[in-house]
Order: sequence, then C-alpha cells, then structure tokens
Amino acid sequence: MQEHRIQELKAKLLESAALIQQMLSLAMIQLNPKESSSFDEVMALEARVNELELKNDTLAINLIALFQPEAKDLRRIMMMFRINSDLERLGDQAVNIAESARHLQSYELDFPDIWQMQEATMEMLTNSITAFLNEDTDAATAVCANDNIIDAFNRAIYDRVLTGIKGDSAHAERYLHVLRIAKNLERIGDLATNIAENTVYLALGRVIKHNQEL
Amino acid sequence: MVKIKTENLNLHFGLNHVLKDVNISINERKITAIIGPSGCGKSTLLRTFNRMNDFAADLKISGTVHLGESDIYEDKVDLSRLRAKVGMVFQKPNPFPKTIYQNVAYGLVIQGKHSRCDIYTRVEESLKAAWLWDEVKDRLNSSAMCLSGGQQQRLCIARALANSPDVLLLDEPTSALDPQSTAKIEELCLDLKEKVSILIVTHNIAQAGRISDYTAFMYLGELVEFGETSQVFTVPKDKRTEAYLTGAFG
Amino acid sequence: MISQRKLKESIGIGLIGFMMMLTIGFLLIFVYRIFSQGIHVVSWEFISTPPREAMTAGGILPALIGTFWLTFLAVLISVPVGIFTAIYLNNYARPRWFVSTLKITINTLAGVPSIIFGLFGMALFVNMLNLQVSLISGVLTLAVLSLPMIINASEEALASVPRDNSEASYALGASKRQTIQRILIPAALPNILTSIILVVGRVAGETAPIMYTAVTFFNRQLPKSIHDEVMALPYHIFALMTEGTKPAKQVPIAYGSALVLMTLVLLISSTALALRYYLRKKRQW
Repeated sequence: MQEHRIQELKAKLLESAALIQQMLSLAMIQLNPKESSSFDEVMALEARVNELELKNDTLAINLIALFQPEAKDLRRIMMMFRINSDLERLGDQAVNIAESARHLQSYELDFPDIWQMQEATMEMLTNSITAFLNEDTDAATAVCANDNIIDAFNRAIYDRVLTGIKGDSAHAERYLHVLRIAKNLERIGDLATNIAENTVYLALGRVIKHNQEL
Repeated sequence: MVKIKTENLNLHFGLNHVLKDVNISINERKITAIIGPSGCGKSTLLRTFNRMNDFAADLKISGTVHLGESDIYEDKVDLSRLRAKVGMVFQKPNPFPKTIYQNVAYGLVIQGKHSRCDIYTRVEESLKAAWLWDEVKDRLNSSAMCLSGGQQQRLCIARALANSPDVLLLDEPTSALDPQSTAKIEELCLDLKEKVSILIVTHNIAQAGRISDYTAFMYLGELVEFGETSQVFTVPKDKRTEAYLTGAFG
Repeated sequence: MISQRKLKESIGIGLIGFMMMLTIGFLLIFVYRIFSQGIHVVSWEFISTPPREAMTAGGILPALIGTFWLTFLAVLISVPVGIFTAIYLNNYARPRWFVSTLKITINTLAGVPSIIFGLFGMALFVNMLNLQVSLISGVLTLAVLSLPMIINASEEALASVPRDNSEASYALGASKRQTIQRILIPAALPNILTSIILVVGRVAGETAPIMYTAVTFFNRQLPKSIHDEVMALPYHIFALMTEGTKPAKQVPIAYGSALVLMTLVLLISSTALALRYYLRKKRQW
C-alpha cells in the first residue's frame, strides 16, 4: 500500500531535481555575452521548486502518519525529507548564481576555471541524483570523493580573484561576482554530497557524514 | 455524494444514553473508519445503519437516518430489503454450518430468488469479488467450517456481497485474525470500495490510517471529529482526537 | 517423604474411585440378577406368542405390541406439540415474566411423579371425556407426561445454538420465521433428536400412568382399535409379581419380561448415544 506512495514521493523529488538542473544551466548561460538574459526564467522555475518543496513535505508527513513505516521504508522517507530541503536550498544557490551571472553578462571574462568548475559541479549533481534514483551506493560514494575537486577549483578561483582585485581595483565588483558564483557552486557541491550521503544511509543504514570512513 | 446521513441521532438503551446528537455524512464509494476507545458507541452507531439495534427490547431512537433519499426508521420500511442493501460482517467470522455454496447463496434464497442458474452465477461473482473463488471453486459443496479463519471471514464478506449491497458495514472484521489474513482483507476493502461504500469500525488506529479515506472519532457517544483521514491523522481539530491518536487513552 | 498435598490427592482419588466402583457394582449386580433370573425363559417363542394357561406359560407378544403402540402414538403426539411450544417460548412469547413463569411451570411438571399423571389421566380422559380405559386414554396420558420433558429438552437445544449464526441470518435480511426454520432448527436438531429418543425409552417403561388408563391384565386378542384395552410390558411385570396366583411359574416370566424391557430400553439409549456421537462428528462446532 505504501510502496507506490513512496515511489510517488521519489518521482516528485526527481522532478524538483530536474528543474534545478535546468535552473543552473540557464543561470550559467548568462555568462556568455552572446546569450540574452534568462534571469526571469530562472525565477519562474524557482517558484515551482518552492511549491514542490511544500507539496513533498506534506506527502512525506502523511506517509509517516498513515502508514507507520519501518526499517528501510522509514529510512527512505526520512532521507527523502532531507533531500527535499536540500533541493530547495540548491534552488536558492542557483538563483544567486543567476543574479551574479546577470551582472557579469556584458563583460568579457578571462576565467576559464569558472566554466570547468561549473561543469564539474553539474556532473557531481547529476551523479548524486542518479545515485539517489537507483539507490546505488557505489555511485553515491564516488560522488563524495569528488567533493575535493570542487574545493580545489574554489581555492584556485579565490587566489585569482584576489590577484585580480589587487591588480585592477577599479573593476573589483566584477571579480567579487565571480567569487560569489564560485562560492555558490561550491555550496552546490556540498549539497550534492549531502544527497549522496543520505542515499547511502537510505540504502544501507550506514552514516558516512562528516568524513567518516565507509 | 452522500450515501448515509444522520441528523440529531440520539439513541438510548433504557436509561443509557449511548449515542448523543450524532450528525454524520458518509460519502459514497469511500472507506470511512470509525475509531474510538472501548464503549464509545462505535458499534452501536454502525448497527443503526442496518437497524440491527432493533433487537434490543429497550431501544429508544430519535432523529433521522437517511440512506440515500429515504429515512430508514420510517414505519413502512421493509427491513428485509434494507438489510440486503446494507450488508454486515461481524468481528468473529460466523459462517453457517452449511456448505460454502449454501452460505453464499443464503441471502439470495431468503430474498426469494429461485432460479438455480442465477443463484450459481451470483455465488461465483461474489466469491470472486471476495478473493475467495480460486481457493474454493473445487469444493463448493464442502463444509464452510473447514476453512481457515481468514477464509471464513472472506466467505462472510462474499455472503454479504451476494445481495448486491450499496453499503458494507464491517464491525472490527480483522481483530480475530492473524496479520496475513488481516492484510489480505485490508487490500480487499481497497478493491471493493470501487463499487460499495464501506464503513469500518476498528480499534486499530494504524488500520484506519492505512485504508480509510475518511475517519470519524467517537468518544463517550459523541461524534468528536470527522474528516479526511490524512487531515485527522496529521492535524486533528479536536484535542481529544489528538489525545486518542497519540495513545493518551483508550 | 510424601508431601501433604500428594497425600490429599491420593486420598481424594481413592475415594472417588471407590464411589465409582460402588455405582458400577450396583449396576452390574442389578443387570446380572435380571439376566440370570430371566434368561432361561426368553426365547423366540417367548417374544412372539401370547400367554397361555393363566400366564404360566407362553409369551408376552401382546404386551410387547401394547408397549409399542402406547409409546409410538404418545411420542407422535407429544413431539410436534413439544417442539413447537419450545420454539414459541424461545422466540415469540412476550412479556418476559410470562415466559419465565411458563418455563418454571414446565420444569416443575417434568418432575411430577408419574402416578399423578396416571390419576390425572384417569380423571380427565377415562371419566370426564368418557374414553374409558383404552389405548387412546393411555396414549394421551403418556403424551401429557412426556410433553414437559420434550419441551425442556427442545428449549435447551434451541437456546444452546450460538447467537452469532442467527445474527448473521438477520443481517442478511431474513425474517424471524426464516431464521428459525433455516438456522435454529437445523442447528438444534441433533440435540432434539437425542432427547426424543431418550424420552421414548422413558415412556416405554412407565407403569403408573397406564395402570388406570390403558392396561388390562390379560387380553386374548391384539388391539384392533384405539378404544381397546391393551397389555403392556411394565404392567405385565407388576401384575405377575403382585397378582399372580402361581409364583413358581410366573416369577421367572416376570424376570423374563423385565429382561426384555431392559434390553429394549438399553437398545434405545444406545441408539441415542450413537446418533449423538455421529452428529457431533459431523458438526464442527
């Protein structure tokens, strides 16, 4: 009886995740000066993500109230609850990126790192969502390992921004926006890691948070 | 669509005021659960819908109970037809000490059907609807008492279904059964509600949560709360409902 | 060291065992006596021919036939009346105080000594209704005698049918009559049948009710109508032992009759037990 409701909740979460991936792409596209602003689209998508978050909350609570799930079902529902709020925060990060990217739109930027970071982050996010969809603990563990890569990118960009501001203080604002984008991408990496950790707990009941060994 | 509606229903057994001012609307083709602590009047309420309380010598009843358009407590009501339209299954499975076929056919024979062919068709339909046909189709003429508890209860459901009722009243139908039989009958209810409105009295809150669309909470003869099950179980409107659901009493 | 409790238990069991031995002992002595005193008289000729030479020779055929007719007709009357009365009491009678009073009365009647029924029969059937001493008077008296027993037994049988079957029947739309006919009676039938058979056994052996209403000491012919007097086994035994003029020959005949009667009653009781056993096996309550 409750299995198909759990699947329903999962499907809704995946729907939310898909929207967020869309938001991210649209946000970063703005960095390309040839593209027009897609900020409004991003905001529209965010509204839908928020709406979905509330609906999924109710779904999860009703599931617990009506069906008293145990063991694996209980873990799944609790983790989906967490992933739900993580997804909402992901949406917020995507909006921040969209804002900063809009500011940088008219400028030619020499920051190839940022595109690489974005690619790596998007890949991490996609992998963690796929791991959640398939309840695949190996894939999830791999995602957690990749968090370092994103951190490395973040530090590199930070150094370059610092150098850039020292050398070209008139355009400091631009550099700060770049930093903001990098920071938000790093946060997205963290949240993707959260989703992966929650997936491992959901499937195996093992906690791998806070860098505990598997 | 409202199938059963009571207005200002008050019921006394002698001096005992068992049902106090009950106003309830049961929706068609849904499962409505009636929950509450022991002695709150839930079984009595259930039995007002097929007038099984009439057997008590000191019964006094006021207010109206409408099944569809008509008040079932009017003088000219045909009790036999009423009880065919509003079937009942009891807590302890009570098949007659007759064959399986005779059990299911009983209601039809009582209502005056004579055609052996029609009766057989209806028996088969009812046993299939009660998810019992495959298990008994080769031994319809064996005694009903040889069936297991869960099978006997499904037989009682088939027996009630044979009359093509609009409403099925279930009075704690699984409390005497093991968990597997209970699960089977719960799934059966979900299947049956497409055609029949189901009212189930249960002291098992989890069961109400699992299968019902609407829940009525009764306490000391009063209908304290009535609403969609997901609402009653997550944000009940009355403190007493919340106390009962969280196990504070009952 | 035997504990106190074990000692008490042994004494208790010993006592109970002893009582049982006493009872069985009595029964065995009783049966043995009748058997040994009567067996050399009993033969096919004994059962199939009438008495000759002033009851000193011959058989007991008329008495057997008489007992048969008396029992059969009495039961034929009292069983339907008794069962329907029980059904009425159980399901239809109102108000409650009336029903209770009636039940107590019937219970009491079941315990009334049979000689009183005999006197009642004589007063009502023989004299007032002017049926004279005849088969019909005896039959009616025996019917009245057995009625309370049948009512009691049927009533108990009906009351012991579990209520939930009747409830289910009503919940399916059955009327009272339909429920009684299709559920109650079939369920109570085994117990009712058993009690009928036991009543038959009892009635066959009654002497007092038939003494003044039906029997005669000697009847040359077998009864041709219900207005004839009849012979009967219990009375025959009584008559031979108390009014016989040639005890040397007649006492053995009396024992022989007693043996036949006892065998008859035992046969009937065994049938009842066998029937009850069979029906209980069929029923899975």
